[in-house]
Amino acid sequence: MTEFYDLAPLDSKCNPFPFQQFKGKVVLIVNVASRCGFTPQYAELEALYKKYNDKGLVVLGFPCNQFGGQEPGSAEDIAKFCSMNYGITFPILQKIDVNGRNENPVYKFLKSRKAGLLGFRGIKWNFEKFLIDSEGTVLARYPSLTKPMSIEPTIENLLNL
Amino acid sequence: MQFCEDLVDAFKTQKEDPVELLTTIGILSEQVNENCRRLEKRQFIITLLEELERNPVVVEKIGWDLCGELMTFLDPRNINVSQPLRSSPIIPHVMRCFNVVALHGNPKQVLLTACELLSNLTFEEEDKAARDAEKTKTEKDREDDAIADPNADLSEHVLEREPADFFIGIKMHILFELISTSMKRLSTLYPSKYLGVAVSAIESFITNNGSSIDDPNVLLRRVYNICRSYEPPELPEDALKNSKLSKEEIERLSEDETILQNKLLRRLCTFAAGECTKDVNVRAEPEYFAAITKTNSIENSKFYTDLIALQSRLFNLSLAFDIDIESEFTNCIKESKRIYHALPKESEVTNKEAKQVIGQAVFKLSYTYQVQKLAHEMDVQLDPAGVLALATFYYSEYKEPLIKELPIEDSIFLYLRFVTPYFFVPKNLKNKTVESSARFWLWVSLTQNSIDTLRKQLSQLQSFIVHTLLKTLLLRNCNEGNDRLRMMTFTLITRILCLLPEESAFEFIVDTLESFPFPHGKSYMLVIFKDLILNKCPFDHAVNELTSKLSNLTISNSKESRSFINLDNEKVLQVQKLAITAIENANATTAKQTDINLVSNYLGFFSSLLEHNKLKVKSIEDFKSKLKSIKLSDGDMEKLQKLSK
Repeated sequence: MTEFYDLAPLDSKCNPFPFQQFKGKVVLIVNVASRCGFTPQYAELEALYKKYNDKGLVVLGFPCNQFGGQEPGSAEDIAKFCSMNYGITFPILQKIDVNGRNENPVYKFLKSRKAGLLGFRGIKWNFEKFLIDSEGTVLARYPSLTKPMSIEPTIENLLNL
Repeated sequence: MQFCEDLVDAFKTQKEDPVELLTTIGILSEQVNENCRRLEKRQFIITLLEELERNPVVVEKIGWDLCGELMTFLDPRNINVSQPLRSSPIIPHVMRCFNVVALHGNPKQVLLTACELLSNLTFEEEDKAARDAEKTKTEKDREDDAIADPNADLSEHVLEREPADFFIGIKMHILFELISTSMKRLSTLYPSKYLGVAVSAIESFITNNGSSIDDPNVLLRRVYNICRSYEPPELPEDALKNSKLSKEEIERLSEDETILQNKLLRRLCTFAAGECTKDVNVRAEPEYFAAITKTNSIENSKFYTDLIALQSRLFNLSLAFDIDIESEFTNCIKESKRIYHALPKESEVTNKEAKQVIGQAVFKLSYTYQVQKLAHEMDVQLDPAGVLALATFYYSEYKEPLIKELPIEDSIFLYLRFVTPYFFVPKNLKNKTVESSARFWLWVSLTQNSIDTLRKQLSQLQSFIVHTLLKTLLLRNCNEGNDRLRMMTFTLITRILCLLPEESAFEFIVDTLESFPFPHGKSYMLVIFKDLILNKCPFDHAVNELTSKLSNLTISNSKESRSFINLDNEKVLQVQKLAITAIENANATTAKQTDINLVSNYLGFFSSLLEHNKLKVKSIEDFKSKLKSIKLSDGDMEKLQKLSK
């Protein structure tokens, strides 16, 4: 059975990005989109990343165009948007599908480990978040409405701060 | 204004007695509505709004009952529908009152009231009210139509709106808002009970109005939003303290409730996919047709661009709701096949009369099945029409069919299951989204399977089933107003006839020319018939781009010189007999233009065959002599002279 550290999605330049490198780290995974009402959450995600990256937090963004077609651009467009508007420094990986026949194995794994509201496994919208602890266990799943900063206490707890 | 003073007084003196206060509000509203000018009505509603805002505790008690009273102000006599919403002296204030009710009314009661109002809201009623109001509008009402709200930015912009469409739209907006706000405010151990009532009301509203609303995208968007934004209500704070249930029982109840809510949302999502846009064909069908025939697809209008975007959202929401579309669609096909499973084998039906009787039974089977299914359905299930629609939206999403190489018999049973009931149901239950989706799957089968496979599958299927399919396609196509879609379906019928055993195809054509209820349908069939006689291999000009299978198509050499239907003397005699019957019908006192056109088409049919040496002129002498009894157009006379030469 696949474990979190067996996963290796592709980065924005289509190079493998193995999760093995995150052993011992706390990981926050978010499906992102540039034209969504929740896009301003990028700012809080970056703030979390800046504040806790050296203490062991990793934030990963997976662009996805499945919700209202709100991430239509290329990898370059997305990178440019993130850098210019929110000064994003955390990794933004390759654009993927999070649901359906082409769903990325990362999301297949995450959804299998944590259901969302009403027990639905599928991702409902942009900026849903999965929090993974330092042992690769999917600890929590947050809906789009949950602001990243509201997860800060849980992250601090996981980082033993 | 005295009515306003009375209203303020009532809120002061009767707030402890909600029934009395409500009665007073009702009486005053009725009097204002009957006797006052528009600006006075506005003043009354503003006063009511102020009192409601000042008295949230009262709203908690009477809010649910106020909904009906407030709705009476949304009347064609109070509103100029060509005025922008914000300029209306009535609408914005009524909407604010509803907002207060939504925020402070008892959420359970408000939700139930809103659901009841939504279930009973129909386009027909609104249309009747608008027409009646137009007749009874007084001079003062018309003067008032020119008045805008004193606080609104005056806009000279005049909107062209159908009154019934406007009123159903505004009421739908208010009621959906009431439902979604109330659901968010609920605190209950049994949320599925309330969600169930809401889903049932929304489904009734869609069933009643889906084909009447001018812009069904609005409806689709509303239902999509309610599905997407639904969140389970919180448990009451005192659930554990005051309930007779133990903690474990509450946990178990909560789990059951989660499953039920899950089912209800999945059900509503599929229902919306299949029913909200029932007066609109899916775009997947013409898109697929354009792809397989390498022709340009029609550029989508704004309406269709919006529709496709909404359908895409709904498709993705169904994935978020864990609906396995492929598996559900496969089950839907299996169920469709089961409906027709008990039909006798071809060999068991020996004569024409028996075939006709069974053909009639095939028409009615699906309808009977669905009535029985409805009567016995106890569980909340996905809507089958919605599953079919979602499986079709898949093509717009991924640009390839969800299931490739779907056997033709599967798509035939799917089509019969979903379309034949239309002959037995009222108009508002007919559904273009579903019908065009079913045609889409016929196209998929016809283009993703090899010709050999298709011929084999069709030859193994009872002829009365295929004939019922063809007859249904033809019957439905006779009423198709869109030229392009009509042409596509004729191409579909032609393709299927090409693939059938020659005798079966001829039998269907003769049967159509003999007994099809509409003369113009017979005329269409003559054109197809002519193509089948004249063309050798019609697949060459519609090569399937999606697979190379059809492009490699070859029909064995021995058949190359043959047409799809080859006329012999016996067949000519049969057709001539039918043509003579057409002349007799055209000569009858009850004849219509379509009857005369049919004779003209027979003349054109025989002329073409003569031109291509498929017929000898002496074999249709009877037809020619009978033609003299009818008055022909100049063009037809020319054709007749050519025949005589």
